[in-house]
Amino acid sequence: MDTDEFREVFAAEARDYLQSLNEDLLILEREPESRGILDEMFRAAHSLKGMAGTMGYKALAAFTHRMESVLDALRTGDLRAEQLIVDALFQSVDTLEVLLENTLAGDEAADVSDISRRLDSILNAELPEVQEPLGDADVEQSASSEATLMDLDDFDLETLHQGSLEGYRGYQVDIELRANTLLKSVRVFTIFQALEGIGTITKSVPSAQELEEENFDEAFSVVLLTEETPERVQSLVESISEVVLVRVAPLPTEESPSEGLSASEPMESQETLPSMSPQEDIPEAKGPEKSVQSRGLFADRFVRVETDRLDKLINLVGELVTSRTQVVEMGRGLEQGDSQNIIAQLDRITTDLQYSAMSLRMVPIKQVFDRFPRMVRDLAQAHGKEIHFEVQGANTELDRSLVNEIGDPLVHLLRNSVDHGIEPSEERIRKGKPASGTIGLTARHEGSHVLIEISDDGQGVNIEKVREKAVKRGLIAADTPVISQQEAVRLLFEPGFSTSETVTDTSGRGVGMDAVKAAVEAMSGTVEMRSTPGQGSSITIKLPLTLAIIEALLVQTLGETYAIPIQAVRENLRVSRGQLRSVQQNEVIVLRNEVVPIFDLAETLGFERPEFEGDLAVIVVESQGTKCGFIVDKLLGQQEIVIKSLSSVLGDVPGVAGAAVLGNGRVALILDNSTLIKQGA
Amino acid sequence: MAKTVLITDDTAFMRMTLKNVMQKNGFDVVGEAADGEDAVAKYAELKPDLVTMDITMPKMDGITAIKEIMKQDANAKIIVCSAMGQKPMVIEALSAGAKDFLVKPFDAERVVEALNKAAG
Repeated sequence: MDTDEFREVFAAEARDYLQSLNEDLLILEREPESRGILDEMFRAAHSLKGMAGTMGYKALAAFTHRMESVLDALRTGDLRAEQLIVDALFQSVDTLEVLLENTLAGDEAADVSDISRRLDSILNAELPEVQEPLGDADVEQSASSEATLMDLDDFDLETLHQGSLEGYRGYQVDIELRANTLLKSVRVFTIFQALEGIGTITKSVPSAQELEEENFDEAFSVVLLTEETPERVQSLVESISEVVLVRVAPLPTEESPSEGLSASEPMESQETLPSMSPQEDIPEAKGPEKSVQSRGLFADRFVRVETDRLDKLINLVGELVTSRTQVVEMGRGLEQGDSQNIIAQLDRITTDLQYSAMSLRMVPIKQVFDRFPRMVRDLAQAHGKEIHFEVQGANTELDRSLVNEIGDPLVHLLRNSVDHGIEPSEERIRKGKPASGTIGLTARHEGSHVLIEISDDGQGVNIEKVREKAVKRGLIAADTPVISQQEAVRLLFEPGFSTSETVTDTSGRGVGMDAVKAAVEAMSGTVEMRSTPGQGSSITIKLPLTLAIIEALLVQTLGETYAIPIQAVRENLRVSRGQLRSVQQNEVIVLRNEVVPIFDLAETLGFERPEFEGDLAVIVVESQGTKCGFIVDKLLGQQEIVIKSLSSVLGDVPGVAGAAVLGNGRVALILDNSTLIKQGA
Repeated sequence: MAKTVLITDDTAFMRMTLKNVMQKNGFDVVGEAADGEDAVAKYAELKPDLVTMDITMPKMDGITAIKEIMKQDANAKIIVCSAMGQKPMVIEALSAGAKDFLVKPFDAERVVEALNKAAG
């Protein structure tokens, strides 16, 4: 088998399993008795082991096997999920993460001996007979369990009821394949084919998609509506190769939703995660995937598409949008009439197409949020703090590229909240606050923006501390007696500022709010902070929904057109030469009592400074709190542009963030304000 | 009476392996075909109880051969043989009428199970 071909799929899926193991562990820690969670974790570990074995990753498979053994002992009740064991499992998942990434990078040599010994001693102490030869991932424990009826929802019951009215009887058929069956999904296909020959399959567990992806062990179950006898069904399935066990059990035909729901315990326990608020929507998002309705084996609502293909489509739509703009511009010169109508229609359809294509780029921010509950838990534990972490709006969608970028700033802010925000329990009790602190992480849409808010009910920004530090750093004059709350927050965002008195493992040194601000601004977003001393802080990050299309101000200099992202533009001015002053060989203007340095755009970009006549057109832009003005030849106006990256031939050009094709077919370079300002200053 | 089998595979090595397994387990290998065309012709001539059919073969591939044989005899019992990674082809073969499939490298036990089950 050409394993390279499967490596990427394996990596993505393995990471998903690790993520779900992490989430489940958090639940397990609070509900040690939850059989449903243990079953799910066991399945995840088992699948991961199988996948790793198939890929030939022996170390990964062997370690996963150990973990699976512990989970199996837990779910069968031979072990109890005490804190010690849960901690070992947390450590195991971390180890697996390292092992996985090392393995993918082609290096299996991660040291897992410590945690392996820990897992072994857990097993040895409680359950010597579970121990199996190490490193042998192929050893399968019999996964067969006694017959249990699968969860049937109202829809399934209704289907059964309808079927019974037409003379069909519903059966649950449990099927187990021989261990190590090759091309399992095709075997499933032959079974489905045979069963569809005598009836209709209305549901399968695991879902048809999971069966098709071979995402199951040896056993699966289907609901079959048929006129045939159970004996006939039994012998039909038994006549298929590699089927080692078949069980056919009649299902109720009466409409009795309560009966079906009582069996869905694993799902429910997942939905009542105590640390999360009721509005929390991670479990809600997780639920539907598990009970995908199946009609026919290879039908499903989702298709997997390579991101490259998606990007290509979006790129083409971008070009189409540009052509549309050209056509619409041409149409302006035409008489009212048919061609005008056609152009209007083209305009409308293209706009719809553009929005549809853009929506393909959108992914739920859940991808990023998912790892935070675990992170906050670990941090809180490390700091000996009690923290209640609430996540809301994890299903809020934003551009895929932004989802990738927003992780680090959020990690930093959450660390700040745990480290500097929330006080230790004793201190909180003394202040009359609940012993356990609360950190909230919320995402929501607002117009064409996404707002992400991190709030805590900790001590807020200590103004006096900020003042002292600012004086020490020379950011404000030494004799500044008091600063306002606003001023304190502004200082926090100054480069190199950090309010923590001690350097901690958590927040580290040197990386301050300024880094967060820079990262967010690089995504064309903004950061705002509000803080009430003694009551907590909240930080709001505002991001555009997509980076692919932006509003830009078009300017011209030396006959070339440049685009400046509109969110950086503060104002545009007419400046007479007399208003230009010179300070330390730099030109500045005084704008409402503020000194703003002025540069010539062409010169900043490395051209000869052009001679302009009369008043100067100046665009004032702001980045990371620094304002500066650029002299341009003229303003062309505001336009929506589709950003294209410069080709790799050009590489990174300082000051240029990309290029856009304008309505008139000409190319405009998009200026990167922050770099320009740095270059100028 | 022993069931008669026609083995179809373009490599002599695979035909030999299969023949060996079948003969040891009481099947009567009545013919061997090296490609799809050959298999279709030999099926008409020999009317075997069972056929094993490789997918990737010169002249006529296994799937086309299965379709041709099914046209001759709607009750033909054909077992398709494939390598890993030929999933779509196996599914096509099964849809075309093959009764079962085997995955290379062959495991004697599985070969016998498939032959027995297909023979009914």
